[in-house]
Amino acid sequence: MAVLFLVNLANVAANFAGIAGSLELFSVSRYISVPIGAALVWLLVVKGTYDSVEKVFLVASSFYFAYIVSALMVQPDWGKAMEATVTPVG
Amino acid sequence: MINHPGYIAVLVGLVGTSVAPWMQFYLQAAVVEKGIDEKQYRESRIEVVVGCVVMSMIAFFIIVSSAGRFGSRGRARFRTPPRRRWR
Repeated sequence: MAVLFLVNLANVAANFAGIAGSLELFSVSRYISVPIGAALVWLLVVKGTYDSVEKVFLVASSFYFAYIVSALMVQPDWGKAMEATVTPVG
Repeated sequence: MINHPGYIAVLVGLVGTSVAPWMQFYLQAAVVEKGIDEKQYRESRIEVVVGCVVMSMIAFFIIVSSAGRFGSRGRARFRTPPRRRWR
């Protein structure tokens, strides 16, 4: 139970660090983004029903498809990427 | 190879972000709250498997895009804006 609490706490901290870091790229201060993020998460957890939470998660998940576009945009060495996918680091 | 410090760090990071403790509870709670009965177990299981596969694909593209951007070719043009003090 204590381990679970600590791991979850670290996870929450990492997520808030992510919110702070990503929005600072857009020049939003962490002292603004983190409290707003925390309030939104609190609302979702405390007031949200399954239907509303599901919709929020679906919208949030759709943003992940940006990574596919982003990976194509950086034009990586695909041969090397495929090779590295199946071989451990040397 | 397997005990390479970078490899261990990536492994811990990947497992840690993919299998967070809250997800186990959330998945269970979602199945209950959705009101899934025995007849829909099969579909629910398919949903979970598809989700896992898509998530792994996205993780692959996240790694490729950051490796391509920050990695060996040294063509990173990415800058974080100067940190602003909160007043």
